[in-house]
Amino acid sequence: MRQDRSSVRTERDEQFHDFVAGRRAALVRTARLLTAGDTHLAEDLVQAALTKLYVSWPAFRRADNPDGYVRRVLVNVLTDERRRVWRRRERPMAQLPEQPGPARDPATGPADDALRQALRDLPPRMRAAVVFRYFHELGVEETADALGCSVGTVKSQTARALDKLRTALRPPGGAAPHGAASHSVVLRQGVSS
Amino acid sequence: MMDLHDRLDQFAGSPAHPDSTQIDADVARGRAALHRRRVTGAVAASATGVAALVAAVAIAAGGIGTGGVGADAGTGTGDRTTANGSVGASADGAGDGRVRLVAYTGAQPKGFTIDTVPDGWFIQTDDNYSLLLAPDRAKNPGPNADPSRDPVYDPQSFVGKIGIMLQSKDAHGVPEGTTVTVGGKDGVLVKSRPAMTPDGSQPPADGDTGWELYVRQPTGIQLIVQFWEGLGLTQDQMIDIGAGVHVHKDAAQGVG
Repeated sequence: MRQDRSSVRTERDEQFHDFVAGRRAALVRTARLLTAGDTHLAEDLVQAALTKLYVSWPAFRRADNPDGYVRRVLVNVLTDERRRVWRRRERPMAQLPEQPGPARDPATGPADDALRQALRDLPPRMRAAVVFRYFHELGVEETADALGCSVGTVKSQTARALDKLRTALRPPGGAAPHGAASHSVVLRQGVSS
Repeated sequence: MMDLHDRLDQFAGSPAHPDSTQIDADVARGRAALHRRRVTGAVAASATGVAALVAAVAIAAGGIGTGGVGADAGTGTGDRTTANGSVGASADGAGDGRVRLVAYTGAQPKGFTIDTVPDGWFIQTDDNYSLLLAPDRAKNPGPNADPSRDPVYDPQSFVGKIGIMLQSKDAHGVPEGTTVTVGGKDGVLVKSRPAMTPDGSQPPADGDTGWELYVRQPTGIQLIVQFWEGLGLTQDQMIDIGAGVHVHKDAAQGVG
């Protein structure tokens, strides 16, 4: 019987298949944070990132730091996605439509509308810095590598992000005195801003 | 008191592990993108070879210093390069089958008004946030038209049209492009990025990805005139259209 060439699985296919099976769920989690809880955009990001990874699979396999390679791909895709916004496919509007959030999707975590809004209010790369520093608990150097920027930029971006998050996530009536640090956002022990 | 890590961890949720169908789809997307990349590379290499061969033949036929390889070779005097890099008509190129600009004579909207439109185009819809120009065929969709399949009929879609709007409140700055003067105002003509899909970027075969004309208003806000890909307008025509757009006090910035 004649075999369809496209049906032959290559070594790359096998390796990539195993990678996706083992890492896809974690990538989706990261993407959900990078997109401030937009589950549809997160899935798009993961698909686009995986596609890029497949295309550059030999380079990924040769990378000294494969995890760092994946993070850079995710950030690049996120940046591409943001830049795509320049090109409007739909008419602009006065207010963004409600998007399905975690509360409406059982596959995601519990509703945290305040956090979602706070993350949405951060510029994408600042948000990514927060995700890598305080969710993945990467060092400043690794975060800088993922974002393709300097260590100093990571420090300043995360400091500004934390200020914004503290303000946004301050509990009602919990306004901190002027100049005093709010404790509504605390970092894990050993992770400094 | 809140631990930011825990809160992010909860927010990220617990997506299910992918099933075989999902993984196979990821593999298929990757394979398709790799195939496209290889085909594109082969075509580009082939095109380069053909171009080199044509140039060599032209030089041989015309001879160096005879003017055989120059501005007039191939295109003819008077033609102008279109925004997508192909040879197009001048702005008043009536009768050659290409896009012609005409004065807009219909009813004017409120937020934005417009002086010049491509011949055979009309204002499909407008509000305080945008003005949308579409080709006349969008006027009569017919009983079988499906706006979800042919967005020209969808007044919410910018695909295949010219969209006029102020820059979103959430966007800042102007992308890199060609500095131009638009009706006496500072402008920048920006080549659009190709639309990105999960399968990877797929620029159209002719390289036209569309254009955006940014025109700085006296308020400091940028007016954006977005030209979808494949409209066949020259850069001069885009600037002429942009110069005829007037922003009124009711015009408002969108978000997102």
